[in-house]
Amino acid sequence: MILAISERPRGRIFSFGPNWLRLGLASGLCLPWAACSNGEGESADESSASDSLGQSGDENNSHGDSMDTLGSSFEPFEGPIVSDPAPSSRFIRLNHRQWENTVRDLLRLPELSGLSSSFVAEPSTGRFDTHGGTLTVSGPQWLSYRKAAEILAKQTARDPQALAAIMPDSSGGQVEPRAFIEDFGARAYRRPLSSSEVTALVELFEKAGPLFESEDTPDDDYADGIELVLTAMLQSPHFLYRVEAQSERKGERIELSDYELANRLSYALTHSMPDAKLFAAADAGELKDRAGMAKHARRLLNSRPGQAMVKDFHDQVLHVREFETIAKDPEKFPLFGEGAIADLEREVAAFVDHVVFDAELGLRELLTADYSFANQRIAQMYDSSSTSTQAKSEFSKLMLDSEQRSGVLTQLGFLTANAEGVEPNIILRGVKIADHLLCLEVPPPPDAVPELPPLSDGVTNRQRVEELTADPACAGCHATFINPFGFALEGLDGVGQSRTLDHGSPVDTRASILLGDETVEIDGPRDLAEVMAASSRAHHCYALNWASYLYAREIDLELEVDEALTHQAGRLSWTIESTRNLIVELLTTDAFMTRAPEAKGDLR
Amino acid sequence: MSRYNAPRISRRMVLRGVGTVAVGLPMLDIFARQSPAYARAEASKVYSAFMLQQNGAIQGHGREPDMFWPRKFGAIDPEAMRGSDADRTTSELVDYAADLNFIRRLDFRYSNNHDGGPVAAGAAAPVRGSGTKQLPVSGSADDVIARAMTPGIEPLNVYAGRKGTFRDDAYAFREDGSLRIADNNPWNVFERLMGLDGLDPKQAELIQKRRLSVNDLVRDEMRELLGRADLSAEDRRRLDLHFTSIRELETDTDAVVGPKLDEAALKAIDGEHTENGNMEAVVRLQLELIAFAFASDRVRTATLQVGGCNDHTRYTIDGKEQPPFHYISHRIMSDGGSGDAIPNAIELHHQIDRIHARYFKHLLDRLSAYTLPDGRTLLDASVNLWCNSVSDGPPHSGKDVPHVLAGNAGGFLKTGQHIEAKGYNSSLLSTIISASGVRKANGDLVDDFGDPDSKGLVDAIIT
Repeated sequence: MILAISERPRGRIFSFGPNWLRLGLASGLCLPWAACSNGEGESADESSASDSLGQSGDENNSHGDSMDTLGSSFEPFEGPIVSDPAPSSRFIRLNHRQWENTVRDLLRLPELSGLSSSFVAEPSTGRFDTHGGTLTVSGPQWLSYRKAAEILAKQTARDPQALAAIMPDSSGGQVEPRAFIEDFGARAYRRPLSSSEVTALVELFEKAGPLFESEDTPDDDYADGIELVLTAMLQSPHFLYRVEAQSERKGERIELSDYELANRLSYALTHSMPDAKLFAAADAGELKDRAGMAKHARRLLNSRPGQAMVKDFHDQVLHVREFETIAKDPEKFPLFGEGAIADLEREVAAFVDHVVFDAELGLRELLTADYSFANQRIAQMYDSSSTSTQAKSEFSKLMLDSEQRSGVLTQLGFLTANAEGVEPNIILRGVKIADHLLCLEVPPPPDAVPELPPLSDGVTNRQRVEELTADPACAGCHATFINPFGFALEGLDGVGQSRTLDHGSPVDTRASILLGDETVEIDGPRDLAEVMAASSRAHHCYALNWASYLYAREIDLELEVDEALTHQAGRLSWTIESTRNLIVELLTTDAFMTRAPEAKGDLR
Repeated sequence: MSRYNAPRISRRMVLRGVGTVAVGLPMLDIFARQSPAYARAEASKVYSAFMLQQNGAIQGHGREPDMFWPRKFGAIDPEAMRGSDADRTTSELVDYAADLNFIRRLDFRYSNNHDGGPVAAGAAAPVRGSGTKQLPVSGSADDVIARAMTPGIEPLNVYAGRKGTFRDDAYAFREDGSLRIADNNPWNVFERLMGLDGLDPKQAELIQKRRLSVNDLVRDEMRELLGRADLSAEDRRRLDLHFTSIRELETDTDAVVGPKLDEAALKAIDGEHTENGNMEAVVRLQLELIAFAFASDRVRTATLQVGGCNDHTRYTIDGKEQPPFHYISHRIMSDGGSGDAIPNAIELHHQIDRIHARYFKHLLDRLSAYTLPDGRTLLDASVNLWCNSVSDGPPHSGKDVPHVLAGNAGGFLKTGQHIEAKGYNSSLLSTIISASGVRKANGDLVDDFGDPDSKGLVDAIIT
C-alpha cells in the first residue's frame, strides 16, 4: 500500500463538524443511469448539492482531535460516552416484526402468530426499520390491528391451555378479573396500570357476557370478559406504541421511568417486550443506574434474540435483503441455482455472528478478516477449482486468499448483488461503500444520464466507467468518492470469482481514495479494507449506524449532541474493537437513558 | 386548512343509531335520500381513479418505435384503432374510444425516474428529501379530492405486487406530503369495504356493540394522550391520524346495482397476493374493489399503484415467463446499464404495455357495469387516469409521460380526443380535480394543484 497526501481537490467539501458526513460538490452532480434501480436514487436534486456548498473542512472539528486522518493520530478512547439526549418521539410505534415478537411473548405463544403478514406492508421511512417514531396508524393499519386483536383474543380466551398460559398464577388457575387485569395489563402496557385504567378494564370485563350471548361458544362469562379485555388491550395505544409519558424536567433532560428504560433496552436489543428479569429490574429500580443497564444489556445481547438483532443490523447495513434480486444465468453459473441466495445470506450471518460473538471483535475484523464461513456451495463459489472439504449444508470457517479477500466487501453476496451478470458494477459497489460503510451522503444523479459505453474486447469495465464519468460534472463525485472504491474490487467479478483479465486486458485495481484530508493510493481489496478499517470515517459511520438502529431514530449530525455522541462512539469503536462493547456503551449513555424535552416552538 | 372545497355540498360526520347503539359513521351514504340536496348531490357525484404503471412505455422516444399511440392526432377513430392502429397499445381500449382522451407531451417538473417519478405522477409538486426517501411538499390529487368532497373519508389507496424492494409506495400522499401506504392484499381491502355485511343481523349487532365498547376505551386512552400539552407537533399529528382511523362499522352494500365482488376469488388470493404469478389477478381484483367502492359510494377517489417503483414483475408472454419487467425496460438482463441483451425487449415491453392497457380496460368494464340511481353508469360519472412513473425505457425520462384518460366526469370533460397538451402534468391533475367537483375558495376551477410555479388546465378537454 502506498500512502500519499495530496492537496484537497478544489470545489469539493469533505468536512468534519456539522456537515462532516455530507459530500458536496461545487461542480455539479452526475451518477450514471447504471445505478438506477438499487436504491441510490436517480433524479437530480440540486438542493442536496447546494446544501453542502461553502462548508469548510476540518475547522469544524469541535473536539480537537485529528479525526480526519487515517488512524495514526486517532486518539484512543475507552468511554464512557458523555452525551445529552436529542429530541425524539415519545410514541414509538412497534414495527410489524416487533408487533409479532411482542404478541408471542405477551401471550406466551410457542411461535409467531404470523398475523402481521396481512398487515399493510410498510416501506422503510428511515435509515433502519427500527425507527418507530415515524410509523403511523392509518385506516388500513388500524383495521389490521383490530382484526388481529379479535383473532388473538378469541383464540386465547376460548382455549383453556392458551388461557392458562397468561394467568398470573403459575398453575394456570383462573384468578379474579381485577387480578388478571393488573397482572396481564402490566405486561401488555409494559408498565403497571393506573387505578383508573384497571377500573376501566374491569368495567369492560363485566359487561362482556351479554355481548357474546349469540356466539357459537359455550356460555362462559369469564372467557367472554377475557376476550373483550384482550381485544381492547391489543388495540390500546399503550400496547401499539412505546409510550414515554415522563415529563418532569431535570435541567435539559427528562429522566425516563424504570419501565420506559426497560422498554427502550428490550426493544433495542430483542425487538420485543421486556422479559421477566427486566421487569423485575424495573420493579426494583435497578435500571436508573448505568451499571444496572449495562448488566441487563449484556444479558440480553448474549441471548438468542440479541444475536438475531446483531444479524439484523448488519443485514440492513449491508443490504442483505437485496440479495434476493441476484439473478445469474443458472446455465452459465450452475452454483447460482436453487438455494444459492439463502446460502449467500447465511454466509454473512455466520461470519458476523463469529466476529461479534465468538471472536468478540468489531468493525476492523468485519472489514479485514481473511476468512469467511461456507458450506460446500459457497466454498466452490469462491474457488470453483477447489475440492472443498466443507460440509454440504453446514457452514464452517473457510480460509481465503488474503490478497484477494478481505472481510464483508469481498464476500460473495456483496460482490454478486452489486454486479450485472458476470460484470462487476463499479458504480454500485462504490456507492454502497460510500453510503453504507462511510456514511458519505452521495447526491443523486441527474435525469437521463447516458448509458455506459458497450463492452468490447480491449476495453475494460473500468475504462468504460472512467469514460462515462470523465465529464467534470460527473467526475467530482465519481473520480473521488465513488469509482475508486469500485476500482479496488475489479479483481473480483460479478459472480465473486477472482480475475486478472478483463476483456483481454489486465485488471487494474489501483485507486486513489480520499478519506478525511488525505488521498491514499491503494491497490486491490486488501488495501481498501485495511485503509477503511484504520480510518476514523468508517468507525464513525459504524457507530452512527448502531446509534441510529438502537435509538430508533435518525442521528442528526446537525445537532451538537448527536455529533458529540457519534464522535465519541466512533473513537470507541476504533479503540476497543468490539461490537458488543460498543453496543453496551451506546445503551448506557445519557443520550439513551434520558430524553430531551420537546422544544417550546414544537409544542402543539 | 385546505385551499380547496366542494362548494355545492357540505360534508361532515353525523351520527346514526344502529339498534341501540349510536355510532360515528361517514356521511357518504346517509343523506336523507328524499331531500333536494341529496338529489343534487347524486347528480353531481364524480368518481376518480388513478392507475400508475411503472418502467415507461414504448412510445417512440429516441430510436425506439412508437407502439403506444394512434398514428393521428385529433378525434380518436375507433375504426383506425381496430385497423391500422391495431398494432398500438391503446387499441386495447377501442371499446371505449368515445370515452377516452389520449394526452401527450406532459412532463414531470420537480422529480423523476423510479424514485421521484411516482411522486410527480401523483402530486406534481416540489419534493423534499432525495432518492427513494423523497416526498412531495403537498398531497396527491386523490387527497385533494377526498378532503374537499368527502371530508373525513380517506381515499382508497391500493397496490398490486410485492413490497420490500427498491421503493414501494410512492403515489398517494396526504396534505403534508406524508406517504399513504396502500394495501396490496385485495382480501384486506374487501374486508374493509364489506365490514359486517353478510352476517346474521343479531350477530352483527353484537359484534358492533363489542367493537363500540372496545373503541370507547381505546378512544378514552387516546384522548388522554392527546390532551397532554407537552406533545410535539409530529407526535400529535401521528396520534391524531390514529384516533381518526378508528371506526365501528361500515355501510351496507345492498343498494349497489351491478356486479358483486367475487368473495371466493378474493379469499383464495389472500396470502398469495404477492406471488409473481398472481400479479394480473391481483390488479384485476383491486380494480374491481375500486369500482365497487365507487358503486357503494364508500369513496369518491382511489389510486392503484401497479408494482414497486421499478416493477420487477415477471409477466408471462407467449406462454413463457419473461425476465423482470424492469430488466426488459432496460433492454438488458440487469437493473443497471450493462448486462446481457434481451433480444426482443422492445416487443416484450410493448406486450407489457398492452397488459396494462387491459388492466385499465378492466376498470372501465367494471365502471360501465354499475348503474347509478339516475341511470348513468359509473363510467359516465367518473374520470379515470392511467399514467406512468417514467416516460420510456432508457433513459427513464420524465418528459412526455403518457397519460390516458377515460370518462367525462358527468359532462365536465370532452372526450374522444388525441391531443398534445404541452406543459406539466400538474395541469392535467388540476383538470381532474376540477372535474371531480373541487373548487378554489372563490369558486373558480382548481388550476394551481401541486406546482407553485405554474397554473393552468388542459383546456382542450374541458367542455
